[in-house]
Amino acid sequence: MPVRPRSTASDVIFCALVAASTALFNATLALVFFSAPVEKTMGIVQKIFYFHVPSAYSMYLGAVACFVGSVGYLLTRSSLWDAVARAGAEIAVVFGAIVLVTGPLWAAKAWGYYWTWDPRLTTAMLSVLIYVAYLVLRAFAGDGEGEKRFSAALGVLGAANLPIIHFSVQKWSGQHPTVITAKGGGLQHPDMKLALTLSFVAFTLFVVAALWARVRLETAKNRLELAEEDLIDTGLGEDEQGADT
Amino acid sequence: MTQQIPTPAPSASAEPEGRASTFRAVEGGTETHSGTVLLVEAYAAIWLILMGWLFMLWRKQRGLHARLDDVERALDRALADKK
Repeated sequence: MPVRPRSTASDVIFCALVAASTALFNATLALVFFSAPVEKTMGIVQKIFYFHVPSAYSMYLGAVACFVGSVGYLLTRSSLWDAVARAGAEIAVVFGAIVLVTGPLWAAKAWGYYWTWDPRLTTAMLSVLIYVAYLVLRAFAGDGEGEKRFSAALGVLGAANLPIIHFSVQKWSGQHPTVITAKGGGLQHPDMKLALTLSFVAFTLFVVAALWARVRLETAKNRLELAEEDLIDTGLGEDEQGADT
Repeated sequence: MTQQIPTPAPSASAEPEGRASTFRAVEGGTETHSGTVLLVEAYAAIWLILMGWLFMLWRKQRGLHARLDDVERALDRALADKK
């Protein structure tokens, strides 16, 4: 009879994170569509902003996780850090894709065209492509020590683009707006500020929960691979391997 | 040396005869976007991307469970052989 694993404190915290982020997403949606006013110049399409900007921030969080995991792996050679880096890269790609889809849809109305080679748009796309390259490398190059080290180096180098994305608006001219700044931002209405703040909190909790779940999945995969190798070494898993092929 | 200054072309609306009096349909003319449609497309895209990612994670987890079942079967067979 299979033994059902007991829920631990970490499971409870994980469920609480998921529940909190779900509740906050619902509250954000209600605020965005029923409370926050329509923007004067752009109209209703500006409401993309409340998910576009936190998605970009989530992409940064994923990229930072990939950087931290990569550095950790290069220093310790621990598979846990490798799992953190891989999970971070995946999160960076998912939220980067959201940014690259919602941004052009907003631009179609605000600028009159979907895409322009603006510094921020170009550097953001470059960053997403770096993390796509990381995931492709991990998917097709195998899980050897050399591949993991090479991926970790790519994870470290990928993070070098993050400050370029952030400061590209200030250093180079372009069309991307600079509404969110260190001086407080250009949101004129308190409900706009509240909706954006809630959205940031909801995205942060979701990214933490997603990173957690993804690292656990990767760690389970690593443990299973070790168990399979042990089985093959002892001659127990040969039949199963033969049955698969 | 005298410089020839180009004279501006007369505006079409300057004379009543030059004003547009008809509207003709064209294929692929100037694109206009509805903000509401773009907003709905953006939110739909967010959901699709997130659901696609969750589906991918679910498939990975299902693959792990299948491999785990193989390992358990191999262990069960080995234990049965020992008995």
